[in-house]
Formats: sequence, C-alpha cells, structure tokens
Amino acid sequence: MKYIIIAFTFFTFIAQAQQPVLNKDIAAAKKAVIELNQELSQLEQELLSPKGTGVAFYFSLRGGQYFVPLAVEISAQGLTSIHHVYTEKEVDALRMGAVHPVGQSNLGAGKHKINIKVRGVNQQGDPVTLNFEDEVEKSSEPLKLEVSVRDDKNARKANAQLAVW
Amino acid sequence: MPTIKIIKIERSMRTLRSCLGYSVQVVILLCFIFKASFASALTIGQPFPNFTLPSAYVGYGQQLQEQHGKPVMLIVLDRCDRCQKKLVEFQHQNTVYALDDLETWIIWTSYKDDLPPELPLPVLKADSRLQQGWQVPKKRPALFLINRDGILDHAQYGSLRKLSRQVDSLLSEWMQQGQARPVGQ
Repeated sequence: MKYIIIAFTFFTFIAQAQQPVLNKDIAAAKKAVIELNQELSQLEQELLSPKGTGVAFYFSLRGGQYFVPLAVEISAQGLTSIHHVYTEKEVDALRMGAVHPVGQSNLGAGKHKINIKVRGVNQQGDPVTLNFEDEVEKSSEPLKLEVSVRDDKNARKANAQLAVW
Repeated sequence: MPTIKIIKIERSMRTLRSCLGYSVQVVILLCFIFKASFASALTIGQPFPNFTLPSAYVGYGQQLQEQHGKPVMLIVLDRCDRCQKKLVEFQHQNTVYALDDLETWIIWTSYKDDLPPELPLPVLKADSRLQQGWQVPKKRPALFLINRDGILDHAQYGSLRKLSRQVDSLLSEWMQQGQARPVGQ
C-alpha cells in the first residue's frame, strides 16, 4: 500500500511538472487546427470557384407596379441551378432601387444559354411567371449578369431581361 | 496557387502530428468530415439555423432571420390536406400573444393532391427545390419555439392533437420566462 501511495505521489508530481509543457502543446495543436481549417477552406474555395470561371447573378426591379417578384430561378447547362425566394422586406428594398446578389456559380468559357424564371404576381394579384432564355458569352474573365424586371407602362405589364455588367 | 496551399496544409498537419497522438488526429479528422451534419442538427439552447421558405399560396416568402427580436413558433406539419381545423388552437394562441409580437408560421409539405391549410397565418411550403438553409425535419409534426435572440428554446414532437393540447401551457410558461414584451414598450 505504501509503495502504491509513493508511486501515485511520484506520478502526480511528474504530471504537475509536465503541465506547462502539455498546455503549450495543446495551445500549439489548437493553433494548428485553426490554421489548417482556414487553409482547407481557402483551398476548397479556389478549387471549386476558380476566378476565371466565376459568374455572378444579380436581380433588380424597376417600378414594381405591374409585377411583384416572389422567386427567381436561374439555370443553364453545366450550371448548378440558382434560386431565391423573396420576402416582403426584400421586395420593398428592390422597389427602392436595391440590387440583390442572387448567387454565384461557375461556367466554362464559351457561349451559354441561360434560362431565367421569375415567379410573381401581377397588379390583379394573379400568379405570373416571366420565363425567358438568353445567350451569353463567357470569356476567361469573371462574368456579372443582371436579371432586370422593368415595368412597361404602355403595355401595362412587366418585362424581364438579362444584361451583362 | 493550390500547390502552395497544399504545402501549407502539409506543414500544419506535421505540426499537428507532432503535438497529438494518432487517435486524437483521427477524432479531429472525423470532426471535419461530420462538421456539416453537426452544424445542421437542432440543439436546444443553440441558434436556430436560418432558412427561407416560399409561401404555400401566392405570396411572399419568409426568412427566419428577419424575425430576429420576435418570438417565433414554428409548426411543421406532417401530411395535411386542408387541415385548418386541426390548427385552430395554434391560431388562437397566436392571437393571445399577438401583443407580445409572437410570430406563428405553419410549414406544410405538399403530397399528391393535398392542399395547404387555409389560415390567417403565414403558411409556408417545404419545397426542397426552392427552400434555402435549414432543411425541414423528417420527424414531424413538430413544434419549435425560437426566442427573441433566435435561440431554439423548445422542440416538441408528436401528433397535432397532442401538440394542440400542450401548446397553451407551453406558450404560457415560455412567455413568462422572458418572451413577453417588456412593460412600457
């Protein structure tokens, strides 16, 4: 029993003596984990979205008298579908001139057909979908595209179009 | 550029290896792998993940983050075809606590020819194609109470009948715990 107590005291003493070294190791390990996480995230970002293939979509509303957007869906061959559901506050901001960044994706260089569906309601409150397709050319530079919905006062309805920034 | 990153990562891994044992490294690696699933899990006392869902009717979508500062009651329905009668108690409770800014949202999932409940509350559609953020749980019906800070305070599962019976006492207790609007505001 006496030897057990001596051994226990000895190991406790050694453990206490090693405590600062252990704490230092733990701190170094934590730092290494944080750095590793940051570097992995950066690498993931660079591999998934190389700068040359980047394409960003924006949405704007001019007027908003004849059409209230509720959701937008953007799709193209080779493009992960992008969509957004609009809340009342977001539509209010769009009416005041805000431009909404819908999302980013990747497209290879060349010509692409982009399909856009803007779901919403007309002045009477009936559901309306503005559906159109447009062709864009992607170079090695990042591409910024704006889906713009504008009121046509003469026709008393809204039209959607795609513009390159 | 990625090569430099890989070298940096290797260096970090080497530092890590010198500091930790093999089993600890495996645990950390598993944590990285399952990071996404841990993050998406609902935990009482943790922030409720943000989400945007479209309206089940023709109307605006709703985003949870926009309700920050208000207590929110989420009712996730199982199969429901115009089941508004089963939701009367929730609607009533919403009226009772309207002055305390309680927001009640019904989350409905479309199935075959089912139609959403007709209620004077936001009825949202759990649309896997359009929804953003948090995924509606498979375990339902469910009731979630999210406080003014966006923290999940309560999660109840069970039939709508059971939840309807519990909601009165649950909300009353919850509101007394600090969700009620402070006097004078």
